[in-house]
Amino acid sequence: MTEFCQRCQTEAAKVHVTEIDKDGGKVLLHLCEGCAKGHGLPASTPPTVLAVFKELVDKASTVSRTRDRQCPECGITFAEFKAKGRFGCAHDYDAFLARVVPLLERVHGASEHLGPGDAVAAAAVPDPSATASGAAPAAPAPVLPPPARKSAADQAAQELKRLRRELVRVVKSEAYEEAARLRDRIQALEKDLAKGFEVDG
Amino acid sequence: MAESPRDWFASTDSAGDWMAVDGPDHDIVVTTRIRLARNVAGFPFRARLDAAKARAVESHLAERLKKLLFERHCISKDLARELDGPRAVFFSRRKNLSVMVNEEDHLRLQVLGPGRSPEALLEQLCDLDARIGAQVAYATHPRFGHLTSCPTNVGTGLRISVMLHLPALVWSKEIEKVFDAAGKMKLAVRGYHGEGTSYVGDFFQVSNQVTLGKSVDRLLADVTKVLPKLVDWERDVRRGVRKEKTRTLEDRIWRAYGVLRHARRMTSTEAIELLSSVRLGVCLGLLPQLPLRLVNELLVLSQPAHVQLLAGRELDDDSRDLARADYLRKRLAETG
Repeated sequence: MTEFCQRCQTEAAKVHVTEIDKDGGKVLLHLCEGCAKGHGLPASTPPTVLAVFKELVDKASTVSRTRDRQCPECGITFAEFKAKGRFGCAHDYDAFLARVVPLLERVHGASEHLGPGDAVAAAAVPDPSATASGAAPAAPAPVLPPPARKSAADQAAQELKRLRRELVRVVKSEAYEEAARLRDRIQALEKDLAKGFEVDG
Repeated sequence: MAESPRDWFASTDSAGDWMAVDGPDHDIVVTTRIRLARNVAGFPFRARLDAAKARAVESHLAERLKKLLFERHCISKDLARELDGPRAVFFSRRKNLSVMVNEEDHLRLQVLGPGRSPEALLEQLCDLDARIGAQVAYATHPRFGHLTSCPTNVGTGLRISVMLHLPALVWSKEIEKVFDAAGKMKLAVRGYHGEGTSYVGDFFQVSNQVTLGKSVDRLLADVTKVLPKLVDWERDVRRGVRKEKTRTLEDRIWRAYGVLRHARRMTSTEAIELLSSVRLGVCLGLLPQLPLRLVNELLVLSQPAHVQLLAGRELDDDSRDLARADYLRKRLAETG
């Protein structure tokens, strides 16, 4: 049985609000999404923790379904790559970007190639075990275009994907405290992304 | 072109200049090997390269490499063979520089030199890389640099491996500390044959573990800065062992020499282990009649594939062990 909006009487009431009036009495409001907005209310009832979980798990499982998508060029899946440890073509690095970046971070402690131009920076890094007989190699490094800095938004988007996957994992293992923590981080990141991400260093 | 790959590999001087014993710290640093992994833009990597495309990569590269390298009298060999798809290996005349086509990556450029000489070798390799890169469009990425089949090589594609002979550190069990120290410095320590091999005969390959996020110069510096320390450390312990355990040391070295000189059957592991002791003896001046270069050569030539090349046919394990012992006896007898 559909309950209609108390205001417009035409749309289904989806927002249910209990307001406290001046005298401390409760007023129950049943509004449709449009009228709720006009009333200065969020378009839906604040979601319960469970609902948030469900939504996030749904989103995350979309991610996990796309996880097995193929590289459009060579057709390899990430699972195949993981099994063999070898990529199928140069496009895989972009096709699986969200998973490649954390992988590279783990293996190399970095996810960006440094061109030959950082020799000065490298020399400036204090070396606790230097013997003063330091080699000052002047080998010409392979020529490459300077690496494009990754935007903070890209990073945030990737982090978001990672967190969503992590959430699915912890929800499955019923680690709800951890899940709640992840949910908060996901929501915060989503908010940041929505309003234009600012780098915090 | 007249020389067959078999003759080429099996001839005793074929081990090449990198076997020479005039490199810096050659008593401890056996060789330095540097390689760059490269792929050609527009072709799938090895894992997705069918036979036709592999042939296309091979001919695309062979054409350019031959022209580029032959003209400069740099490359004298084309050992193209149809093993697991079209592959090719090109060697420089001095045999220290090689270009492998259709290995794990489309291109593996490698340079090998005696002793501790990574700076000069790297310069040589980067020069070759630049020249090939001018003819061949490499697969690169604005963020990740050179793209490779395996993400452990991405970025620079550079691996600097220095083979060290550390018998005294193994003997004194201080080698564990070397592993710890290397790990902390993001360096890999591997066995005689590199990746995935166990430690045999006190030979260790120290190499950079990461290839991404650091410049080529920085990666080189990471490796080179630890070498003098390791060399000094090994020398110190050698001195100590020689002073305090003279008889034990001498016995071990002469015993190893005796077995190599007279044994009738020998596995490759035993050969490496004995040659390691003999090598130490030569470096300490205990076996003056034996040239270090010969010991270095025997370390390579007593390996299974070389033993078979020397024999001229494929051998089962037992005949290989017999052939190896024969060969070692013969070579060592030449020195008196």
